[in-house]
Amino acid sequence: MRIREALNAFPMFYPGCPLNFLYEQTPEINASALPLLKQTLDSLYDRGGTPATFTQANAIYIAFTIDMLKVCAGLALANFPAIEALPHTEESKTIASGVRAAVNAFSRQEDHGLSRRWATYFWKRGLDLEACELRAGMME
Amino acid sequence: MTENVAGFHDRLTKIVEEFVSNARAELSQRWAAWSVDITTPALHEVLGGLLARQVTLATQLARAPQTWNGHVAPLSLRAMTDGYITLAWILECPATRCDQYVKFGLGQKKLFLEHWKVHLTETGERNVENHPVIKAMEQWLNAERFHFLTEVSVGSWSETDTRSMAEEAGCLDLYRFGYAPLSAAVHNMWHHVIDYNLKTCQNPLHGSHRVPVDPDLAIDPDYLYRAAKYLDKSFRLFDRKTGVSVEVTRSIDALIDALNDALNTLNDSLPDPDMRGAPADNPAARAPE
Repeated sequence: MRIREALNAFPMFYPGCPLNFLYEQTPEINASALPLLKQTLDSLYDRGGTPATFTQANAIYIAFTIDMLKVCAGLALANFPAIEALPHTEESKTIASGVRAAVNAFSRQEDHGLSRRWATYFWKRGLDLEACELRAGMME
Repeated sequence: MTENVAGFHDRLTKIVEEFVSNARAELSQRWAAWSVDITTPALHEVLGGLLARQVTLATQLARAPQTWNGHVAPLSLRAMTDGYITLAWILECPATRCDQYVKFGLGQKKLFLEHWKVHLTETGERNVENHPVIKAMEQWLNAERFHFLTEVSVGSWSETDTRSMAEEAGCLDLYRFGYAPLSAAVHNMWHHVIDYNLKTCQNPLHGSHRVPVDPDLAIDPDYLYRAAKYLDKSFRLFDRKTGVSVEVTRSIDALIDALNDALNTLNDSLPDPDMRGAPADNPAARAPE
């Protein structure tokens, strides 16, 4: 139920999302869903920031749980759960660096067909959903 | 405050006119002080003409404050750096290089004439040789050198590249920090376009793509300063190489003093220190050239 709530912007605005099978019916569009998605997305653009690092850590966590990823004892990633303390401990920051590096390695392994199709669809759909937002002022 | 800004603009107009007047005086006094050898007119015409061209580029930019921005000013400033390198390279060996410079220019004019002839023939003109455009151009060319004796060369007039010219003439810094970066605007290169004609969309749904824009830019007197600086460099190069010495107000000195006075007056009238501008000559804020 909580997962459905968290992801409900996708069935509302992205009918081609591969996770829409989680919903028996397309939820009704509510006014706060898209702004919330934008806010979340905005927080992820800084790849080294805490929200984006936790997002990448999720991928690493899944890789650990399905035995896709194994690391040697003594490496920062070996104490992966300590990332929970990010950004308050030095150890969590070190693990965060390992997470970002590992994600790079995964994302370059192969051309993930489904993931790529979803990513392409997601960004194209974004252009249909809303107009561009240009900051006022002459130049950045 | 609006009155002060308007007052600053009036003052800027006067500063520009004073700069134009000083720059022209610098040129005319040098010409007057230079012992012209009438048996080698090309040498004096080429060097004098190139120096005058630098004055024209600087004064035309000065009189058009709307062009003191990153869109347009580099077009003039790049031409000035090119003019300086050309002048410096010719001055390394004036006797042969002046001739080389002249002949290449005439060859280009002749090439233009030949293109016209082909175009007129292809568009059905029956009497190409008597066409007024052809006659005017041939007359122009013959006044310089019989056009049938003029050779058309392709490639560079100096038979080398600008970087090598700058290196040989001892002005590689100007090439690296002036000519090359200013070329980005002249040739519409990516690192110019990305800064001046694209803006990143802030909509998080759009993946930080860039959108084409034609932004108005604020007038930046630094571009006037740079034009004055390149002109001053050209004058000093000329003096050094020809031995000409003149007692004349340096247009750049007068410009810097006047800009600083005007800026200080304007700054004193502004209530908020954050709105105040920097002095006109702040070497620490600038690249070597």
